[in-house]
Amino acid sequence: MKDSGIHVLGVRHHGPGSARSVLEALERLHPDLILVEGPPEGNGALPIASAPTIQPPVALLVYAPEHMDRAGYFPFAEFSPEWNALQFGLKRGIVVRFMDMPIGHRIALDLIEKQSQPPTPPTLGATPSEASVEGHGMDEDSQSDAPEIHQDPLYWLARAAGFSDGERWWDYMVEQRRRSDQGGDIFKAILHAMTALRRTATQQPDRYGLIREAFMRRSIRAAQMEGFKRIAVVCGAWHAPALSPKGSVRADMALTSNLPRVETQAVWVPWTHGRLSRLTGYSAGIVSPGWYHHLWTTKEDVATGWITQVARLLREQDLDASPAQIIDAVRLSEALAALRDRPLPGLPELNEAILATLCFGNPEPLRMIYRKLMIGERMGRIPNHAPTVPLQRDLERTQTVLEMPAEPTRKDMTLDLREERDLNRSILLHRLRLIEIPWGALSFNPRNPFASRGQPALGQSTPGSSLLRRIQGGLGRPAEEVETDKTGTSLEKWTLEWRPEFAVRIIEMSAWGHTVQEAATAYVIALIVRTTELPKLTRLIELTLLADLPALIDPLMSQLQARAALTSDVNVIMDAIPSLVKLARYGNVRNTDSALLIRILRELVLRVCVMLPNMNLWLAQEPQNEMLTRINQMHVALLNWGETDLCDQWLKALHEIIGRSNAPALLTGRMVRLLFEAGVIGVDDLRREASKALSQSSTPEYAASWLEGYLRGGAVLLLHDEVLWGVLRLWVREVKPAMFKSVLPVLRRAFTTFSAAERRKLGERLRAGGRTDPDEPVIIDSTRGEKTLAVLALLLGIEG
Amino acid sequence: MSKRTATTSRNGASAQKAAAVENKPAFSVLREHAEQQFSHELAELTKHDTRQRPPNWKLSPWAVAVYLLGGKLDNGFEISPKYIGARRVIEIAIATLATDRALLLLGVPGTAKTWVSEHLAAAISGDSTLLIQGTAGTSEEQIRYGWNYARLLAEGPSQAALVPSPLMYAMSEGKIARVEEMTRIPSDVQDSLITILSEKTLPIPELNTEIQAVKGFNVIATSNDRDRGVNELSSALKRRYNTVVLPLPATPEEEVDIVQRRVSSLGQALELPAEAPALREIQRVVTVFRELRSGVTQDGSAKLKSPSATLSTAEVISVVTHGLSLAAHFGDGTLRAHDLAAGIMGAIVKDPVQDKAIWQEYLETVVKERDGWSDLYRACKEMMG
Repeated sequence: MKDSGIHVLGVRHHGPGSARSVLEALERLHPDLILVEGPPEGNGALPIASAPTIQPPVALLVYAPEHMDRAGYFPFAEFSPEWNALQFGLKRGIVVRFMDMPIGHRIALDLIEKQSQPPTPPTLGATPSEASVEGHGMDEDSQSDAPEIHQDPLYWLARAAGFSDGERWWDYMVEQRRRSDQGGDIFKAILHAMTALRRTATQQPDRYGLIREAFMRRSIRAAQMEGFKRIAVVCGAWHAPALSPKGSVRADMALTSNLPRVETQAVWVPWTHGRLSRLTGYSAGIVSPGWYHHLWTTKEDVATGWITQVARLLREQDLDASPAQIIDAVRLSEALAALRDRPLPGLPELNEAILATLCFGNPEPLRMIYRKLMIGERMGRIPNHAPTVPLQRDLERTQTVLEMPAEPTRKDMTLDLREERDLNRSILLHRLRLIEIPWGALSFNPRNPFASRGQPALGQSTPGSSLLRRIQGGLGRPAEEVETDKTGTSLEKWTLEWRPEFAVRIIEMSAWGHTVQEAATAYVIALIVRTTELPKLTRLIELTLLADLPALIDPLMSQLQARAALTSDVNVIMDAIPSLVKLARYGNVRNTDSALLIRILRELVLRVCVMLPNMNLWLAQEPQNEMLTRINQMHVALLNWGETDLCDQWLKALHEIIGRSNAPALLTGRMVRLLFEAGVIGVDDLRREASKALSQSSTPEYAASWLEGYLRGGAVLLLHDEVLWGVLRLWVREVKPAMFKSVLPVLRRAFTTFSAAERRKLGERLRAGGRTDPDEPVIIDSTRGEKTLAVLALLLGIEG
Repeated sequence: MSKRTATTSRNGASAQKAAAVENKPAFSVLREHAEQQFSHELAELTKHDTRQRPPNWKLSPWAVAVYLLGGKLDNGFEISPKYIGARRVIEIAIATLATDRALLLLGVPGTAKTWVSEHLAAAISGDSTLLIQGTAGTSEEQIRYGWNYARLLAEGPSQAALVPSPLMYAMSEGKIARVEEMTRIPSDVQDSLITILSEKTLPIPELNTEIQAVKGFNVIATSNDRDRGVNELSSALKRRYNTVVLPLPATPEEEVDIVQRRVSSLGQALELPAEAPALREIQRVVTVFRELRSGVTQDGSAKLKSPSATLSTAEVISVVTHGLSLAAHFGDGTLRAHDLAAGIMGAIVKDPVQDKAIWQEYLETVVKERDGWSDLYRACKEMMG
């Protein structure tokens, strides 16, 4: 093929050995054109790749603005042969071009195919890349034990050479090569091997294989026509034999013309090693980017460097790994390699040596460092001037200002919302969440101040309340509120993990606005119109508040009003009320028109108060529990709000329900307690209600449910509230022996909802005695007490 | 110094042992050493082994690997596999010994640790008899050297009064010494190995001299997973070893293969007149043991309780051999279910209460239901009474 001036360099994508060989071949060939397997749409973006600040891994993202879910990525690592070929050309002023099938065709063809199939909803925001990373389709995943030739051509070559898998064979034959080979023998050999394999293969490796190769041939021919004399072609090894331009021009034209096409754009995006790994479903992925990176960056003494890295990672995990052990491991790996007739230890030899020396035969420590070692997580960088969407720029700017770089490794971050910067960080994360870029996941504040106050079930704090509290604290609210901040409510805990596919989301979202704030606002406004369910709407209101997007409040309010008027389901309204109350309480801080909200809210509460007593509350167990939670939450919300007339209405409604004695026991028990706590019914009423529910006439099941509703989540309250404690104790004491037998299991059931520690405390309190009734005199059995005095005197050394 | 080490003579019991190794025993022994049993294989390997040998090794590392894993020589001579399982394991073991690091074989009982160490020693040094059996009573003398007290009293400390340990002999001759059940040895005695393994010398303060190990010397230790924590190796000692974990057979086929090979070779050694055991019987015993060991039936459909006994391949081998001898001497020479029943039960029921219940449950829920297993079920039920 040399006579034609075309030099086909068949490589494995992301193989450091291939990269070395390609560089050597290019050095020797002095080509005037380098063609690289990749979409021609990327040609315009090529100059960016020569910027000194670009740092692989990066990917060329080719997308059609209307079909963002079908974008194609072409990742490049520092050790990718394609990347090195690009760099070689760009640095020396040699013309470099991509020669593959345009992605625009591919997307258009995919769309046509999809239309003929039952539509599947696109999974937005999940991992759009996985289905669409097909750019480098040479070595498809080998799923079965013995793949077809076209699936994994290397497998059969490796088998012939006595290796267990193609990966390892290629590694040994090509990737680990460190010496230069004379006269490009390696590429000739690859060409021969692939030619032989292709002869036996019956199918092309991927759907567009034939079309793609036709396009590649077309590009080569076009280049020849332009007068290029020495053309270097860098492509996946599988395609190498097919790229001779001598074949039928007409057949190629038939394959490549008249294809549908959509408009596409190409940008560079930062990529990660993790996304290069085969684990993530990338079909041209490699098993261990970390190992390849090491092979690429280490000039000699691969084994020593690798094992030292392992030892350092083990030490990070507080595991012993001494230099002496590193020496032993290096020696063992070399002996193993010699035993296996390899010139140098490969990854299997190194792993086995490490297992035998550093880990004492126990694979657990290696598992702990697997990700860091084998994937070697790192993230690429794109130069600042690279063309990209304004939204991406805005995000980068914000990230820089807030000092929170996008990192691929999972990282925890605790934000103190009293700090200006942390507050802004939190707002950014919430806004990104609204536009479905889940960079951060919010974990709940572990130090919930309500828990220590003994109302775990009643006072659930949402992350939102902390921010609101902070705002209100800053605006001169009562000192008591600021106090609670110190116990930890102003802390938000986030887990950050930047995924490269967010890049595509950002481009998609850039249609909505040029800054994160604009995009989030516009996106949510569109969302509001489509949201009809009340709970979703209120959730959106909450999120909006957290994301500090005041412009959204008005549209939200009008939608809320429209929807609330139409909703007749009490449950839904009750679900919505707590967050609305929160909004109403703090809304004015956000300069929103809370008058409108309060009007809506009052209307809703009153409707609940009317509807609830008339509702059939006889529900199955599960809905009963839900109703219990709903009543609780609404109760707490209303009490916190402090609109007295609404509170009174609510309590009146509750009172009405228990008065009817047809409500389920669980709910009745709870309502009695709520009413008692609110002071609507007194101690005597409480006792009467309790004995009524627990009396012989009611079934044990009824009594059990009543007690459960009365006591749920209230063990601590029971411990500290003399009245509740007294009522219950008195009742137990008065139960007749015959009755006691049937009540005992009931009581037990009610108490199982408490934690073991709570039950123990209750038991201790019971054993310690204590008054069953605040009015009852304390009786001390002095004769029993005196019996211990002698022993005590002995213990204390007091002469008797 | 090297002169002295070379001339150190071995006396006492080990000298007799050496004689036994060198001269073919007049009477056939119950169990031959590996280097005796496979002497022809070793001889063939030596003849065809052209690759580089480490100093004092009888075979090159490649040939050792072939000896253990089996293979065909250029002249068509078949080497039987001694270890059936992961090639990786044997390669690491040999590579370790070639780097003069000591080798520690770990594994649950019955995973061929001793077997591998014996064959490694036989192939590398041509001598698998330099063995120290680790017990709770192993003393420092057994690891270093002892004295012939009559001579010591008569002549005072002298070379002649010294009784070398197998380890000391291995050092002076450049051979492989074996330490069995390392973790059974008390910790303070274990630690006397540290100097030997790191400095490769054995000081003899009484004679103001030392033994320096000749090239080729190394130690293979074995240790039991189940005994972990009895006398845990100190980290200083552990660091001197490369650790290789011997796994349980990965597949039932592999395990049946192992049992069949071992049983037929044992049967030959014991001159049992019975026919070679039916593959089917071996498969059944292997199935029973694998299922009880893993706590789940082979098709993964039912969970089982595991008995306290370690049900390794070694136990299967002994059950089948036992059954074979029962069949030969009391039956018609063909291995049948009732010949195996007693052995199976004996291996599984180690705790008379708990294990018996587990075994009974297994019999009733699994054996009884399985097609074609009714003879085994009946035989086992009969045995339980």
